[in-house]
Amino acid sequence: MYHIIIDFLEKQIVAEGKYQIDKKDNLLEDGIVDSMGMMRLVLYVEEKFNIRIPPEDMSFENFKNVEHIVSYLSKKNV
Amino acid sequence: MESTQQQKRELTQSQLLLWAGQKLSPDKPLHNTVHTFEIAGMVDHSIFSRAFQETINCTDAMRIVFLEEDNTPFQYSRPKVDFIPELIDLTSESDEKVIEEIIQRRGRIPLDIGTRIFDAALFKIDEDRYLWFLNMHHLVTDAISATIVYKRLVGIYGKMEKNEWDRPAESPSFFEYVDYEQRTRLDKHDERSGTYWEEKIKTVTGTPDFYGVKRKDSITDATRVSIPLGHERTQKLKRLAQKPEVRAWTANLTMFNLLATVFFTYLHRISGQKRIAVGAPTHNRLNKRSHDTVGAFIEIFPLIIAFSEEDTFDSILQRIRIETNEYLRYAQPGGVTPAISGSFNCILNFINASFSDFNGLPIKSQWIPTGHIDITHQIRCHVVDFDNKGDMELLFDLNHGTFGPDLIGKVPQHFLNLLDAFLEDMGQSIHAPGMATATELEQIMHKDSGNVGSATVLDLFKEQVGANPGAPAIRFKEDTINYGQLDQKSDRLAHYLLECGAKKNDRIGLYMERSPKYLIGVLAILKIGGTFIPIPSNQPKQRINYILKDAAVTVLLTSTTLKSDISGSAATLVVFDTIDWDSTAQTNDLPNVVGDATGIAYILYTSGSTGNPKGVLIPHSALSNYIHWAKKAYANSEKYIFPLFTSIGFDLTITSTFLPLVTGGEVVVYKESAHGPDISLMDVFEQNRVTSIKLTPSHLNLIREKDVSNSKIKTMIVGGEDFKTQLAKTVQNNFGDHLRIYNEYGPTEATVGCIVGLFDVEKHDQTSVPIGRTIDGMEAYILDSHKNMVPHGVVGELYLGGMGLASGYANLSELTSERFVDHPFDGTKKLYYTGDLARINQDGEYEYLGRSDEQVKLRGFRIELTDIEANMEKHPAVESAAVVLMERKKTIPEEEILNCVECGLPSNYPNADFDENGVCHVCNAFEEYRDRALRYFKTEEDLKKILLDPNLDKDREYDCLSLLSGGKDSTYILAQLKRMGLKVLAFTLDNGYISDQAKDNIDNIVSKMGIDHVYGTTEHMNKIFVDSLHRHQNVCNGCFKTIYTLSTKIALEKKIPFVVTGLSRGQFYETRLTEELFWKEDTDVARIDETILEARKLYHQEEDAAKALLDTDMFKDDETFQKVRFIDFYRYTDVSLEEMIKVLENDIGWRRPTDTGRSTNCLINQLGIYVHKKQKGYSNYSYPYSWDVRMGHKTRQETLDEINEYIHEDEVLRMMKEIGYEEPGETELGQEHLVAYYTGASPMPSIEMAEYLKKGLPDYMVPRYIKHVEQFPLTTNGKVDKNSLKQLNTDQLNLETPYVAPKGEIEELIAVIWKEVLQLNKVGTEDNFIALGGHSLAAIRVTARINEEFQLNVPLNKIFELPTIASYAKYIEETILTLLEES
Repeated sequence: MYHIIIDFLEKQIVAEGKYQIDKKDNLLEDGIVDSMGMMRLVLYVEEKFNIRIPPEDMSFENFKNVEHIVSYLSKKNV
Repeated sequence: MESTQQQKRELTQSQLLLWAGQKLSPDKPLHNTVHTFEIAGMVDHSIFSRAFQETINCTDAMRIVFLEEDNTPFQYSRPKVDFIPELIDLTSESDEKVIEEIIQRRGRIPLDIGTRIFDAALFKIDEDRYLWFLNMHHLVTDAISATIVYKRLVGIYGKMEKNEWDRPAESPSFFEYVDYEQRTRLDKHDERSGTYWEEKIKTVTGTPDFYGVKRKDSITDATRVSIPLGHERTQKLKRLAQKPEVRAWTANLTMFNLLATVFFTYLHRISGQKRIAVGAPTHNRLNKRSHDTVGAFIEIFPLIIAFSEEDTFDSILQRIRIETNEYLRYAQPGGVTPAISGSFNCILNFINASFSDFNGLPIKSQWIPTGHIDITHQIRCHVVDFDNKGDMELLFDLNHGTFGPDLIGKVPQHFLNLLDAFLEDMGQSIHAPGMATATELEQIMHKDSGNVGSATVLDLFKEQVGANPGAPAIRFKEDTINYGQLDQKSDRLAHYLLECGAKKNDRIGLYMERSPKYLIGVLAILKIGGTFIPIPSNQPKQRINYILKDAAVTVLLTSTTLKSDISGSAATLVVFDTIDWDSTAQTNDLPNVVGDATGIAYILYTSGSTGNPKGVLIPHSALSNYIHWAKKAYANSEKYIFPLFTSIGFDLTITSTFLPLVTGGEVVVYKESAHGPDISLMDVFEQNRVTSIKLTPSHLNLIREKDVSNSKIKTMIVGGEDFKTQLAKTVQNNFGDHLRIYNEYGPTEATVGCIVGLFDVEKHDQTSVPIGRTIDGMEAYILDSHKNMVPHGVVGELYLGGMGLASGYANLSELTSERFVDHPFDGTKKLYYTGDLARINQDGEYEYLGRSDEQVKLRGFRIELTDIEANMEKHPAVESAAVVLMERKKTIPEEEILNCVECGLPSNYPNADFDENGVCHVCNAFEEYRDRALRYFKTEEDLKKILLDPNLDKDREYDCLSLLSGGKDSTYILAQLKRMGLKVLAFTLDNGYISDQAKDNIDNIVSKMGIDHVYGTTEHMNKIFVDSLHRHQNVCNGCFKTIYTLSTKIALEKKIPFVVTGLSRGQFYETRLTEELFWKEDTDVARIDETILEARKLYHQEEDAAKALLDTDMFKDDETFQKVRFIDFYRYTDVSLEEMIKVLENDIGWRRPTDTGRSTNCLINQLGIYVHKKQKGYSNYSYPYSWDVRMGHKTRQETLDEINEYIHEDEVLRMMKEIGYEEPGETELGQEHLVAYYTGASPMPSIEMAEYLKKGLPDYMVPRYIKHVEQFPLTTNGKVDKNSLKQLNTDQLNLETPYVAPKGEIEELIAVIWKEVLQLNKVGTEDNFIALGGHSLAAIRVTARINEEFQLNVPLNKIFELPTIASYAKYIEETILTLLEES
């Protein structure tokens, strides 16, 4: 799971694989990913895992870093 | 050539929109994006030029040109563009303003997109102060691009300065994005998002107007206003952004949401529009590489927010958070279309870009407005912090199409007032904070409200007496009274009144018809300083006497003909026509009454909400204020000749009473007729004696067909009601151009008229004629629910202030303080709350928009019904609209339900009526015809005769087919038939829900008795259940029809002549033996049997699932009903429950099933009861069981126990799922909902109208039912009778046929019968009997009643052939005529 998300972020959002993302990186606070990029990740995992992430779940807490994202997704039984 | 092809591209969607905009205004610098960077230090022009050239070389976007091929634009990036930025020396110019001007002017030079897409220069302002000017067309740039170009150039410049520059760095091409955008457009994500936007923008059309300004199209000129938020506000916003309930993914998104909350609210408040769309740019830079690419990436998609009266800033913020989330989800590159782009006219642009220093030198950057914006954008709000100072700045671009200089000055403060209120308390209503600036309030406070004379009405009259005593003052029929005579006569009466004990300030009633004497009376009362109270002659006695008492009238002037109406009054009666003038003093020396401005001149009684009229106290000052103004404003060179023809109790009549007499004119008196309607209006126009007239729009409606081409009327003052422009136009046209039509607005409480406008046939094109401007001495405010002034153009509640206000209501201090409220801007004054809705249009005229008490609350939303009506009236097919809120059907709480003391019928059964002993209407009615009804029943002998008729076919295998449910009744029958020695085939419908025990019972019984038995089944059973639940709210009806259908089929096949049913006697009454059948003394049982057979035929013709899904062809053949006859066993046998159970349990071994949890053997039965109880409030068994009690087959207690049995809800819900039944939503169950009616040439499908309304209204305001009517029902006062419009039920509203009221005796009588039988409050003559729930039973009842009423013999099926009242009535009329001719 970590791999899938980090891979997508690194390849599609951040810098075509030139940038290494750690699971504890503050993606949002440090400006590594902006809201548009995060939404692209949402669309990606929604399709990948066939789930729907409702607006109320798209909180800062659930998406602040890869660790949080993975833990959120595991709650969604992904 | 190949490389050319590689550098050529189509435009992105976003570029196409920009290109098209530019194409429309080729000479306007619409999309110039001008940045200046003021550099605090020396810049080497030669290095700068080289660096700039290098920047061009590595930035393909700067080399792009836009060309057209076959009218299609394309972009082409040239391999090389040579450019040297000009050095402009401004060191000799010391005036900063001039420098600014020079720079701005350069920024406004349109770029030629076909040759070079940018412009740049280096201004030398001082030796150590340079300014880099960069202008790029928006087609190749955006905010982030500007920072990239800046950074790129500064980087190269720095290296060149240090001689470190060798070769251009590789920079990504804009065309990478262009290609990507084109690919994604075809992607499936994009398809989904396309639908999303398509659906979303359907909810809005008609972008809003702001501040009531109807925007001028095709204006690109705009002014940029800067609103620096400053440190404190910025910090407050940042603190707020930290709150978990506010915080979004990123700090930028959070800040966007916060500012969007205020911006949306601001737009809502300055437009009054309930659904606001705002365009927001998305940056579309999806990866790091694109963050280093120059080009036009941004694309604008809308955010749409619906507002309600209850919203707080916080509720809007939460809505915006969800909305921005959705926005991010669906804002895909290349998704924008012209339709999406056209859905908004405001932009909120959060710019996240900043510029760092220039090679170590501090800079100040500026984004220079070009003075032009997109034609369609009225307001753009940019949030910026270019220089990274940490304090935010808002830049408002205001389009001159809406914003004139005055408004432009107001915008910042209006916006900041809202922002500050938001920062102060997010929980407050979005309507709570005021927006008006201190200056605006100041202006209002010191508005000159005009000069008002001090003379009283009486003084003005006296002036006329002095000037022209011989001039005619009053004409009545052939008589004339001149000013001198009028003065004398009123003096004499004044004396007489004094003699009768009247004193100054006394309240003196005038209960009179319109006559010269009335006018003399009014003047006399004023002359002694009294208060006159006009009481019109056509009022109920009770009301007259209430007024006399309430006003504490001391003396009442009346006439011989009217005085007998007075009773119980302490007032001294003065009967005018019997005064003995000879015995009264002849002198003219009246005591000189000093006018007291605050004294009450008159009291008018208007209708009150309590049922009693309320007296409005009008002081002399108010009366003179109006009359002074009217004298001045309506003056023309000729004298006023007014008819006095309207009710003296109507405040509108004050004009006709006084205005002629204070101007030397004449009052022509038209007396009302003693009986019947007042037709004075017609006399006025026929006699053609007057030059001016005061009347209502209703009056005008009455004369609109009249030929008035020779009318002498030149001045027309219209008041009292909403004045439609269409009517005004017709009147103007009929009378000719010389007629001046004034629309005068004013409640009685503000004295006759206080806002007046002259109708202008050219200018006024709204639905209603504007009411104009306030008169001298009066002021009007339009306030919102928090008593804040609403901006111009926005609808609010009208408050009135000034000289014309009444002193209050007589003896109603509470109501007085409710309606005369403290002036919100001036504590020393009062304002009268009119309850009217109004707005100020762009010409500064007030527009009346209906009553605010037309406001209703629906599921938490406060809704102006007039708002919906106005939206409907915009539709070309709608002439006039009326919307009502249908209130929730009152359901009786369970604990309050009573049960008939005899039969147990619950009090919530439709139309249940209990007498004082607690006996229901059905029991009472049955008492009347019980004896006749019992004739229907027969004996076992009779039954045998039928079943064993020797004429029947001898070869038959069975004598009868007996329906066996497994219940006690049908089992008992089987036993009896067996005992009677009949060959029986038992039939059971297996509906899938027969309990196991019941099945065992059935199998045991038939085997024990040795009876042949078959089960019937159908695969369609569940569909039939669902259909039955929808139609009848039970499952039994569907089941019964299935049983009858399947059993008839078997009987036919096996040639069985009879089907024996187990219907109880109670069920006979429920399903066929209606009261009407026994009305006649000589009840003929054979005739009843015929009727029931007819009804059975109709029953099988009724369209339902059973008919549609089962094989029912045999019912088309009338012979079927002869071949297979139905016998109701209990018609021939009367057995008590006790006796029956004994036989069943002892002789047959029948057991009561215990596995259904109820007394029935059918498991799904309780689903039906559950649905029926939930939707109708009572069990479907209540009525048939009540008959069982009446028949003595059940006790009342047994009935109550059974109908109140516990229902296993889980089980019910499970079964619902199983059969596929979905419970109807709340609104379908008679909850509150909106219903709209409209008139217009022809009806249109209601769904179309709903779609139309959805464009202008939020969903919760779109009426659930929309119905065309020929004309609206009217109240006696001539207003639309909304109460009557609330009477249609949902079945009727669902009909697409327009409502047509019954006309003529026959239609009306049939309508009464339909209403009773179908339990309707109202019925239209085009409504379909079947669609209204008419079935065979209802047909029996309706037909029987009609035959009784008209003494006819109409067959039962006629009602299905002629299913509307109109067609049925026509048939009856023809039948009656034929009968008459025959006789």
